Amino acid sequence: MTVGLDRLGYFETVASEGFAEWLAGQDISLVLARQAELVLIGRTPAGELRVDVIDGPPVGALAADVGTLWMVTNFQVWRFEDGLEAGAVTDAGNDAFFLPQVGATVGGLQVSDIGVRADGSPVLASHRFSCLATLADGLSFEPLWLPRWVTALVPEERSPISGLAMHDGAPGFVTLLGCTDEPDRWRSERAAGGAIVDVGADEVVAGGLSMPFHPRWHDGRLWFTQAGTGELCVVEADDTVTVVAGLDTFVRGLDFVGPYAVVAGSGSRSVALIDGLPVGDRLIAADRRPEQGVFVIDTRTGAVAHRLTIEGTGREVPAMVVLSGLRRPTLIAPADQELQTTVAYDRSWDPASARPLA
Amino acid sequence: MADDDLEQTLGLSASPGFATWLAGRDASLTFATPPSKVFFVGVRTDGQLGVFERTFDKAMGVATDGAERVWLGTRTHLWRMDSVPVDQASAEEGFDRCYAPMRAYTTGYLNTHDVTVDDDGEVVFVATRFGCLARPSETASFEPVWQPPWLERFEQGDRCHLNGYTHDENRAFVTSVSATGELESWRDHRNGGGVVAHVPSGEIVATGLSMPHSPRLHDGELWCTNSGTGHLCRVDPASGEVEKVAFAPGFLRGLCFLDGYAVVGSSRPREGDLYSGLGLDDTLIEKGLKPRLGLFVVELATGNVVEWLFVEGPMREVFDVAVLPGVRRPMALGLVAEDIRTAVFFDSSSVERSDSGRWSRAGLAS
Repeated sequence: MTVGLDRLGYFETVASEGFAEWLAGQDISLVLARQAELVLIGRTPAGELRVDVIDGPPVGALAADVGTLWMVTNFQVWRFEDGLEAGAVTDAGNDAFFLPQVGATVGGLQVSDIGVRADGSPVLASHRFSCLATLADGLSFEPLWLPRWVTALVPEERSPISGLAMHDGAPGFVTLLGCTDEPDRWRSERAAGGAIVDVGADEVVAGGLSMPFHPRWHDGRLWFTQAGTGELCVVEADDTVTVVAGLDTFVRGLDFVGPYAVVAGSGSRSVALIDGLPVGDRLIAADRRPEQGVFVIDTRTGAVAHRLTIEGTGREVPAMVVLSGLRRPTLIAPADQELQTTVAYDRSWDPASARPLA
Repeated sequence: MADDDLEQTLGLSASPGFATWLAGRDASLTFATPPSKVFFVGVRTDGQLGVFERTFDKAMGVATDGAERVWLGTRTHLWRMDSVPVDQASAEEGFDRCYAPMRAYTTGYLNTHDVTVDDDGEVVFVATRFGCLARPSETASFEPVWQPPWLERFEQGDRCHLNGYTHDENRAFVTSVSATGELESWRDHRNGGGVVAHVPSGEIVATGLSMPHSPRLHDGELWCTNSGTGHLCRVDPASGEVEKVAFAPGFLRGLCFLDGYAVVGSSRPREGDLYSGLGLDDTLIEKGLKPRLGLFVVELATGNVVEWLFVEGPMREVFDVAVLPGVRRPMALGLVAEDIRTAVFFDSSSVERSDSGRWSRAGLAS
């Protein structure tokens, strides 16, 4: 585990004034997935902001529940559990220590988002197979659902699923980068070919969207980001889409705490990521690069209440998650050598109370 | 996958009859050679031996659940390798099973030794660093389930080098290099301090062994290797009698049974290491033999070594060997080559699309 600054390139974070106090007030910390790094944003006991960078495999999706963190890497789904007892703090000042407990190989499924069902099992959104899926013994995945116009379960990016909103413990809504039945066709239509689909009803809720990502059901309404326009949006009762806030960056990753939406913005070394999209046109016209980092939007006003920008080598930020009730969590990445020196077990186990064997 | 299919480049040699013997058994073998390799041994369509190899960090205990699964203990993880569909090109080459690392349980470093799986698929392994038997846990590194009575407390630290576990429907036994409780005290009892003990009572049923390993219940009989003397042994737990069934030139460890044969792993002691300074050294000098790395096939009826497979190269240890019943030529995916990150195994018939376009689980009315 590497804690500190990006050793490969220039890496510096700049937080808006009061950001640490805001995190404290909400009693949260944040985890961002960069290409092969996890950025953990927390606080010291004294309230100072701390940004820890942990090297690991490329991460494409994150989800959190109390004491549990789900992480989808380039070929596995890992469930992390907090190995610390309640109230415990490590010597390094971490109040949660997530260990990768169980990993499932999903190979080249290309997971864009992960949700957790009421029974604790994960649902995976596949970009490549345009399907929702769950884990299956002996296979990489078991398909659960595809958009009705997709006629075959094939790895062809026909209608890539870019995000999944859980609702009442089940898959509720998905965002799609395109709505076609043709391989890779979405790429040529990405400026306005996206949609939100109600999984249960199998109906399009909103279309004509520009690379929508990461729908979330929050406070009785459906929210999502539109990366192509740099917007945070909400779906109204009549299925119209209202823009809550606009940013000059490629926004993905969406989570909520109270009235605040937290989104991640992606930078890019080149304009390829944003070229041909409304947000790209704006940035190119203004001769600016997209900001990378975390943006806190007050959904009551649409104003950016706080921001933590990451300066340096441009990388995508495919996922971001809020960890509630944790001040400064840390974790060990899957396959990290540090696992050799870390064993989590019940020290109070009494051999005399052993479960019967055989 | 050609980079890991090392039958041409790795120094492997086998007795002339090994492939024929294996072909006649309707089974394949898998064995682990710590610190880094797992081998899959089958028979090619041309009748020659086909050996497939993959890299896993400190591969140790191997347990097969029929032909469907291989459980593998490694340095920091317990891997469940599932039988996944064989790709077309490999199938045309004659591969009939492919095992891929599909589930990982993070254990941290437990110095995992034997791994076992019962008929219900439940896994129990030996956590040698804690001197206990353990089950995989989804919320901790392991779930301790049994500890021998000669250990006073449950705590981290290798005291007796508990290393082997076996069970059938009726009985269960462990092997331990010593029955002592001081930290690392097993190192002083390698020569003759080893025991076989009954689980769960902890009653010692055989003593005087030198680094015993690989207890196995087979057809109601208890077997183990007395690694420090190079013997495959049959143990009578009622009388404590240990019968030397076969000798082979090596630190014998790793044991499975196939028809009327035992397949036993063999490691090479090196002067000054933990496998040297035991009776085996003298026997090898006396017989003018060098220790071998690989597998020996012992005919149970006679105790004769009838076939062998040797691995040349820098490796020195075999830890375990297991049978893959009904498999002719197995292959595997590892974690190093890129294919584990790109391959996708799925069953497209598990969902179906109705006339309205709605997708649902196959067999359910839409």
